[in-house]
Amino acid sequence: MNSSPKFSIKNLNLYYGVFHALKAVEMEIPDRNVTALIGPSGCGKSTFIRVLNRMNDLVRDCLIEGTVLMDNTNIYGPGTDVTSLRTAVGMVFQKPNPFPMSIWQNVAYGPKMQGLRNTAALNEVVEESLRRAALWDEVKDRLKKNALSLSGGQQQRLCIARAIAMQPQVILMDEPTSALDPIATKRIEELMESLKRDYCIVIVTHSMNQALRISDKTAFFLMGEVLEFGDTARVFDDPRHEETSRYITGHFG
Amino acid sequence: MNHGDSKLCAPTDARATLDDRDRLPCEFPGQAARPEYAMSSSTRIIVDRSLRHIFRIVSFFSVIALAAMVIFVFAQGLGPFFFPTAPSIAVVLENIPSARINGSLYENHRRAIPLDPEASYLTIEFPLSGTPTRISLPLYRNVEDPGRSIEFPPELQDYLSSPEHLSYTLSFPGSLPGLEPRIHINIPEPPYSFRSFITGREWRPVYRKMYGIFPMIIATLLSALGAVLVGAPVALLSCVLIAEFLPPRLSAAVTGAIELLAGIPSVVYGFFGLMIVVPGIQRLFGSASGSSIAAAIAILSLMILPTIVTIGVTALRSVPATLREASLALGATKMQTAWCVVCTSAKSGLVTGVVLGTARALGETMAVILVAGNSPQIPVSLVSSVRTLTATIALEMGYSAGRHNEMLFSIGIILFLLIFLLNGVIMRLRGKMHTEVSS
Amino acid sequence: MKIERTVALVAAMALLVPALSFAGGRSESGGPTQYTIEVTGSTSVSPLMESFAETYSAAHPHVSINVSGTGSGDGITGANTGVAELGMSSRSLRPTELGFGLDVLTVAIDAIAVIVHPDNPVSGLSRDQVRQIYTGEITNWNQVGGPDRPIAVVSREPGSGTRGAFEEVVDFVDRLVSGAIEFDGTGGVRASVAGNLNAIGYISLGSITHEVKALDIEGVAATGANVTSGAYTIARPFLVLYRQEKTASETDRFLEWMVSPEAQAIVERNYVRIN
Ligand SMILES: Nc1ncnc2c1ncn2[C@@H]1O[C@H](COP(=O)(O)OP(=O)(O)O)[C@@H](O)[C@H]1O
Ligand SMILES: [Mg+2]
Repeated sequence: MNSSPKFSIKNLNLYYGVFHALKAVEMEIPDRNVTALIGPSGCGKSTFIRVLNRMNDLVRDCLIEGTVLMDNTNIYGPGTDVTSLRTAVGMVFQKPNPFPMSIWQNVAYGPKMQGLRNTAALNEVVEESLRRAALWDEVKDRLKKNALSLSGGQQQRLCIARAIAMQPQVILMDEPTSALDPIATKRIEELMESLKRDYCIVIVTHSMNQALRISDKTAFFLMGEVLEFGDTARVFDDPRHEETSRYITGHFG
Repeated sequence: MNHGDSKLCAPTDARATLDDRDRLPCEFPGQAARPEYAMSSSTRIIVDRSLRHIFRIVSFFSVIALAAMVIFVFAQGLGPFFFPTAPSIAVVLENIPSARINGSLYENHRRAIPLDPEASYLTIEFPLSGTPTRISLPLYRNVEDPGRSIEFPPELQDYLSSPEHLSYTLSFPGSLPGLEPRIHINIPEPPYSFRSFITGREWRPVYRKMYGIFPMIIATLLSALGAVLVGAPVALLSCVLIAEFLPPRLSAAVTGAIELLAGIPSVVYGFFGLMIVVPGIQRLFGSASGSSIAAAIAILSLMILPTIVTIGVTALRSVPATLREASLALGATKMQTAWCVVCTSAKSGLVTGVVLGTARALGETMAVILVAGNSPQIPVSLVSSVRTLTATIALEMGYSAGRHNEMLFSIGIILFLLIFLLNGVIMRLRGKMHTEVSS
Repeated sequence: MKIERTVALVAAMALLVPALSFAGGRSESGGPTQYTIEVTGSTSVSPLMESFAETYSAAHPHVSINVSGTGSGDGITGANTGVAELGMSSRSLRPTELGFGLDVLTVAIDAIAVIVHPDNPVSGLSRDQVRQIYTGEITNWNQVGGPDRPIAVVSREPGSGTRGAFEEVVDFVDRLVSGAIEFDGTGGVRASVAGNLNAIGYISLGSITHEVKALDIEGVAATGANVTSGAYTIARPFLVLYRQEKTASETDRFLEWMVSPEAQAIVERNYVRIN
């Protein structure tokens, strides 16, 4: 199981109208690993990560070609139920975006929408998810308080807990720490470290250090193309492309 | 202007020092004036301060105007509850050229003659078909029923009539038809009890001088409530459809159309109601007439739709897209997202829309007058003809006089209070939601 | 004096002065001889007054007559307080209003016609029947020889001159059945009756159109001739109110003209002339 990739992307082309945003992307994303996506702004990282849970379906005039296999099933195949795909592939966004409801309701939201109504079971899910997101101790006394009263870092961990509550197989994170201070960032990084034992994690980051610290694989995107993909250490130590090394060393972007 | 001095003069006034701040010389030492800037800093300050004064003067006048209006309404509307309609009984002579009333001679006097409030007799001496006649009527003060403050002896009963409550007319046979000598005696109406005003069930303002507005309060509240119960759910469903499910172009077009609906004069709604809804209700219920509370509710719910929808759609649209994405990314369907996340997040805006819709229903006048039937009764069924508070004011303002007229202002005060109450409710709800979100 | 404050004041004046001057003088604009007579009051009298004004102004170009139909109450109060030089009323003055000591000129008699839908087979009622319908003792057309249909009673609003006169003549003062439909204005009553087979209403005889049918009362048709002869009794005077000592000479001449044969000929088109 560990050997076969979680996602296997073949010849993926994505168009926003006439704009060719992803060009012939080929990638194999391993399970129980952290895969980092790096590259200058506008190169298509977010677009790519949103391919994995089909969030691009919401964008009008967005055309996708190629195959995206998740556990050898084409998620763009005709039989795929998008909502159940999204329960399996959770997502955390750049800016913390908790719902304007209580902390408890935020975490319980996903399971409730799937039809879980039993309060005891929901309580269990909430506690379990908050513990795994390393937030439980901080909020266990104020679960009924509005989630917007939490600090930015806590809100982001709440969003992670909210994603975990769905018991997904994959967690996608699009620049999850770019709006946070260094201490909150550190806590999220530690959290990812512990989460990768159970989940496949895909993270977009602008911080080379972060990619180096937490990821096992790194993909470098440029103008919609994957220029380089491989083990993080290899990509950083021995980049095969001039552009990769220039980007990593901060010479463009 | 010496800047330092003015600071010394007004050290305690925070606003004065604030004002001073932009009076600071802007050319700092070493900072050369830049000729390419067309407006020098001193011009800019003069312009700014002139504008500020214009704002002050204009807002001062509008505040004065609004205050004057409120004071006028209250001054007119509170009178009936504190003062009698006149200080004392008054006598009016008609076709009597000369008469002596309580000893004073009145020649060709047509205006009302007020009696001394302390008088215990009303004595009128006048020539009737050439023969001097003397009428003497005992007056009673501080009687429970003001109608009994004058007593007419039995021999006058043949000449006596009471064209309206607290007014008595003695008509005597005259030489020419239409020129009969008449004596009118008007007893002032005592201050009206506020309780009978609010709880009274009879609105008979002209002859019986009863001013009970309870049926109108009920009709106003019921028709507004009915309109909200019918209109608000429909409006909310439309809001969600427009903001969440229609493609952007169509959504914009529909919103535009609904905003247009909001601008249609209410008389147009009223005529639509009169021509289509009223006959429809008559046929549907088989009632004598379709002018009824049901028609009022139908038209009002139609009229509040644009209000609620425009405000609601704006509220839904202002919910950040990231929340929708978060919900969808959790595997929720679009419908679940719309109800559980978008509507929940926008509930303060939606409630505002509904409350403003209610206010519109409470305050609507012209359309309701055309369809509600305007009978001041407590509705017993959906086809009862009813009269709202605003309708009463609009219907009777031009025709009323004296206390009747003042009572219409009193109704204005009641409406004022109703809207005030509604504003209180909205403030409270807003505050509650705010603490929910921020605490 | 600071410059800004002056600028602001000048600007504010520039905004306010035209607004104020609009509210202020409006009458004497077209030269010293021009005179405007303000007439206000009853909506029932207004159409007649407007015909008067048109004819009179055509013959007397220096006199313009401003008619505004607001209501009898307004007309009486207006004449009393001097807001308008002439007031119009479509009902006789009430006891308190008599105490204002106004001068009264009757310019026309107006019959009030009881109207029903043209398809209503009932063609006449007695005065008692009309009263019983309006007080709620009769509620179905079959009680007065019509089809089995409920009666929709349509009335004017309290304070209306027409309503006051109608209630007084038919003798049900302030006893209108509760639940009756009340409208402000002749047009509303007419439209309501024209659109409802069950309805009965009352409007000025001069305002009858083919949309509605006037009923005979006590077997007498509502016509000008019958009013003049005294056979048709549901009628009321159109009054003009003024204060003799306050009116201008132009207004006095207009008042005299209103009872002249020329003016009464205009009256006769729609109403009943005074003797
Ligand atoms: N919804 C959209 N419609 C059209 N173009 C888009 C849309 N989203 C992104 N793009 C374009 O696609 C390119 C890639 O965007 P994105 O994936 O957000 O870049 P990154 O996340 O790497 O900064 C950019 O040029 C952007 O302008
Ligand atoms: Mg991005």
